Amino acid sequence: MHKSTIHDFLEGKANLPKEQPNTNEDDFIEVYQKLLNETDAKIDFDPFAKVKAEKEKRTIKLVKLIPYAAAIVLVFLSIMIFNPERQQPQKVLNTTELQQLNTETQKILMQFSNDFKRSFSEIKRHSNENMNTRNNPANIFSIQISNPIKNIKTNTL
Amino acid sequence: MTNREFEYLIDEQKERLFRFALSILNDYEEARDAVQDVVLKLWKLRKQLDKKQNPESFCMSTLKNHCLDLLRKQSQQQAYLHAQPEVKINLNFESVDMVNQLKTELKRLPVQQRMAIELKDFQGLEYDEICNILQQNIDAVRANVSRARKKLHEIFKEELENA
Repeated sequence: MHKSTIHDFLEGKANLPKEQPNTNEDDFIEVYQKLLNETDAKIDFDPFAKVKAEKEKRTIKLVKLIPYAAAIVLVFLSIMIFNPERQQPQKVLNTTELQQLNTETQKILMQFSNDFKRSFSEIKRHSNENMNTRNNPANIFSIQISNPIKNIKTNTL
Repeated sequence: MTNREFEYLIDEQKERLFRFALSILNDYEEARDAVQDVVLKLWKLRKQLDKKQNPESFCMSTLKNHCLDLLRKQSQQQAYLHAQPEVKINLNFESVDMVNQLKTELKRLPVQQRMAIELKDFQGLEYDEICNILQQNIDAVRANVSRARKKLHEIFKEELENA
């Protein structure tokens, strides 16, 4: 066994030499080779044991979530189906109908405006008549007789 | 990556993973738990494994980080860098053959040297791949391999002289 070989091996520059042993150094190689061959850690357990446990845990969690999810879906569906506002179909108007509606609305507003003006002018007329009636000299006296405060002297207040 | 591809990936290297974890943790049950925990972690990340250039190295690297985290937490067992682990050794050298003696000494090596020797000699990986797994440069890996081999060689020579 060349000393350089064992030296290179010990320096980490070479792998385990495969020459036949004939020196003490080669005894070390032989023993070391035996060590490599005998050290055989057999795996006698399942490396996926924890993965299987995790999968089972996730399945159980999913199964527990299903009733909650179903309840939420049911509530949502019942709101959607039995909502009274949704039961009435919404009327969609086309352009012609919209224009017609617009015209009729304007007509009604115009009519209302005219009625209001007429009523207002009637009220005004009536109120003016009342004023004229009150200021009539024939009526002033009668008003003054029935006036409760006519005898109150304001200069003594 | 599908479930089936992931299972195939792990099945192909489950022995390697376990050996590597055992070399770091020196305890069968801890190594077993570490492998199962890391497989679960990788399963949750399986969709990202497709993007990795070397999924096998990524698995080993993840396992390494997990085991070193465990060691850090186990402060009464050993420190992270180079302290000697407390491993009970049989002082009766006559009844223990040389191979067993080297096995015992192997467990006493610092964790960085143990990892390097496990990947280089026991798993037969090249230095490039070892650098990827350990996330160290080639000089650091070679130095750890050299130190570990020299230490075992010293023990061998001492035993020979004693014998």
